[in-house]
Amino acid sequence: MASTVIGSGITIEGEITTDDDVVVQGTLRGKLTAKDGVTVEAGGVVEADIVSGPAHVAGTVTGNISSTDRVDLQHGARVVGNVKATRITIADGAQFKGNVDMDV
Amino acid sequence: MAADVTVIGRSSFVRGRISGTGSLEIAGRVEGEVSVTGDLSVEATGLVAANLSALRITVRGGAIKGDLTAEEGIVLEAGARVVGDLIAPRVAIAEGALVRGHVQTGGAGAHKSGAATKKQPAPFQRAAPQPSISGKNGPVTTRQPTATSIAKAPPPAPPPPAKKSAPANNAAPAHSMPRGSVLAGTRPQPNKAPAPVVPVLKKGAKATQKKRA
Repeated sequence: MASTVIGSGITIEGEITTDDDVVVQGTLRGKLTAKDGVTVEAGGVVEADIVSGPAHVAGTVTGNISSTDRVDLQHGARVVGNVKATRITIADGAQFKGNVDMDV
Repeated sequence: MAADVTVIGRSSFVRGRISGTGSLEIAGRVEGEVSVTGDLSVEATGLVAANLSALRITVRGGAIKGDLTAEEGIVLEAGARVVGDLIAPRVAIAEGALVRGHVQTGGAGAHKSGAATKKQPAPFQRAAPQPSISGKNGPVTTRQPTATSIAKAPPPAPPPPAKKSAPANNAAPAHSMPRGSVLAGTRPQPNKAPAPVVPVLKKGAKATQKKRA
């Protein structure tokens, strides 16, 4: 558990910078920069631009997602913002509004 | 349980406000403000520059600059370094822990709301005098800055007669001692002689008055 976890019920307003994984079960407003993966779990709310490695979203993200690896929008995800990544999957049941830049 | 625990990892840096229900574990850096309803623990790798508020606060190590307010208790374990006030019904400070600040225990409900409002302006004003204290006392645990400042406060108020005794009280920590003695030796009678001393004391008095307010 070296990673950073934002538990459900917790709200962080501000900026997170980390070299670890980040798991968001609660609420984050501001900015999220992670060198490693970012996971927004179901129920998690991110109102922030995300810059990260692989990103897995099952919750709500309002903001741009920029990944050096892949972005998975899973079932139940709700994303409003632009997504930039080398690989993107949008699962059945994911809501997405925004531009996709796969940087080919 | 895992769902409720929030962890700030050791390589993470959070700048801003952390609030909400549940527990929080800080192993990284946090700047801003922390307010949670559950347990709050600061690990050995934690670096915190924020006022902390929680049900229980356990400092296992690391460094904190800011006030700690807990509804149940605060535990500082060996290796903890805290610059700031501790307010909780119960406070435990283990041998090897360093505290620089005011400690207030007991009186469960009464001081919580009152102290919380009073304490907020305090850390910023207290931040200035503390470095000088730290420079002189070094790593020694000092919990009496407010006590000494309160003790210093009365001398500036009374007129000249008390001034000769006032520098004596300040002798240990302040540079006012040499000034006071020189002035006393050269010009004891004129009223203007102690004038330079007065502003020095007044500055201290203002500062303590602000602290009290």
